[in-house]
Amino acid sequence: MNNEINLLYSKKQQILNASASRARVVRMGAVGLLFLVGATSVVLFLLVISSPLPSLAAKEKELENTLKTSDAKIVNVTLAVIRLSDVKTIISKRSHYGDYLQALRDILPAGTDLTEFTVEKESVNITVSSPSLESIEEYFLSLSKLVEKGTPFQRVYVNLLEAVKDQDQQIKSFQVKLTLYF
Amino acid sequence: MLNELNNIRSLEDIRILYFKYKDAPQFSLALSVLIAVVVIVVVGKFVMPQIDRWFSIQNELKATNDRIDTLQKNISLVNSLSDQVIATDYDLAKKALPYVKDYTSIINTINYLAISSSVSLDDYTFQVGNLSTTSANLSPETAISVKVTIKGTIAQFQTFLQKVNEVLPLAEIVNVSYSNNSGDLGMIFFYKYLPKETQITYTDPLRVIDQDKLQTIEMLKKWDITVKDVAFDQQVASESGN
Repeated sequence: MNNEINLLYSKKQQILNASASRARVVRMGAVGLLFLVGATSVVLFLLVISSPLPSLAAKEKELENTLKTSDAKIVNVTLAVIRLSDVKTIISKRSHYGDYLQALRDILPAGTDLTEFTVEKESVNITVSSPSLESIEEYFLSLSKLVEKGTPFQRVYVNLLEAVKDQDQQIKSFQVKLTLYF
Repeated sequence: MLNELNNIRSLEDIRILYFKYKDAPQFSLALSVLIAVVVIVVVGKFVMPQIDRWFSIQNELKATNDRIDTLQKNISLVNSLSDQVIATDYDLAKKALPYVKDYTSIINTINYLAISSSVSLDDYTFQVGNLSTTSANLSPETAISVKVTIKGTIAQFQTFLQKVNEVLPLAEIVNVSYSNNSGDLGMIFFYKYLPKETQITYTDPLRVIDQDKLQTIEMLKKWDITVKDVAFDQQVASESGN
């Protein structure tokens, strides 16, 4: 039989045809991919060049220039705010020895005097005198209540309790020296 | 086929070869490989940088829009501020915490404290230190020490101590020793140098005098002894007029 006039493909020819068909599919896929990549590149390029960034940058510059005309005002406000922050910090950290003294004087019983008041780093030393020992006791009690509150004093320590005598060796008054710890 | 490739002399030869082999699987595969290489090159050299650029543009757009928003808010804020109020607040803040060692104000304040608490004032000494040196200007926050001796009752002494926290420039008691109607006080008066540079970035939100600072300003106004002096003078004048 002559192969030239055979209308049916031989097995070898069928394999070759199938292979050519697959190769064509691959080629078409490759061409399609090339087209897709090209189109993506063009779209991205158009997106990039159509960005509103330059106009926004110009607007930003314009607004900055507007703000620059109020430069002195802005500097003053900024400096005032910074200084006020510093002021607030100092105020919050300051000691209040006057208030401590008032707290100690407010609980003094009648006829009792606070004669000495010395502040050290972590404590306050006071001297209280009274002609009556009962008043001194009353003050101790009041001090205990004050210390129980915990502000500003945490602990009280009696350093000395003495009777002060006059020239006739009669007890004139009682004096107590106390240390109060913050 | 290699021989045919070697014999290419003109475009016509290429055209003939193309039509001869265009349906051959080898041609399709070779073309596919070539296209794949081209695609890889185009993606690497053009598409990926464009994508990077697009994303960076998007980020920059967002950042620019944010800065524009801040600038617009800053402009409306600045327009709403009164020059007069700002100047007054700034002056008050400077009185409270001066930029320099303002010992004249300190002397006035100590005298005011003595008069208003009815104590008599003995000598007092300053430890002013360097008036203007490089190191002094670099110091962020510091204070002038003053030692004061006052005479008065314990009640007057207490008033003095309490009023120290209610005057300008800001002061603080650091040492107290009172006995026999006489008190020795160690005080400090605060000051803080003006920063060498105040960097203002317009695209950052401007600092504002908020409610908290307004309260501080109101408090400082009450402590401003120069205002108190004026009120006192006016009171004296009106009383002498009557």
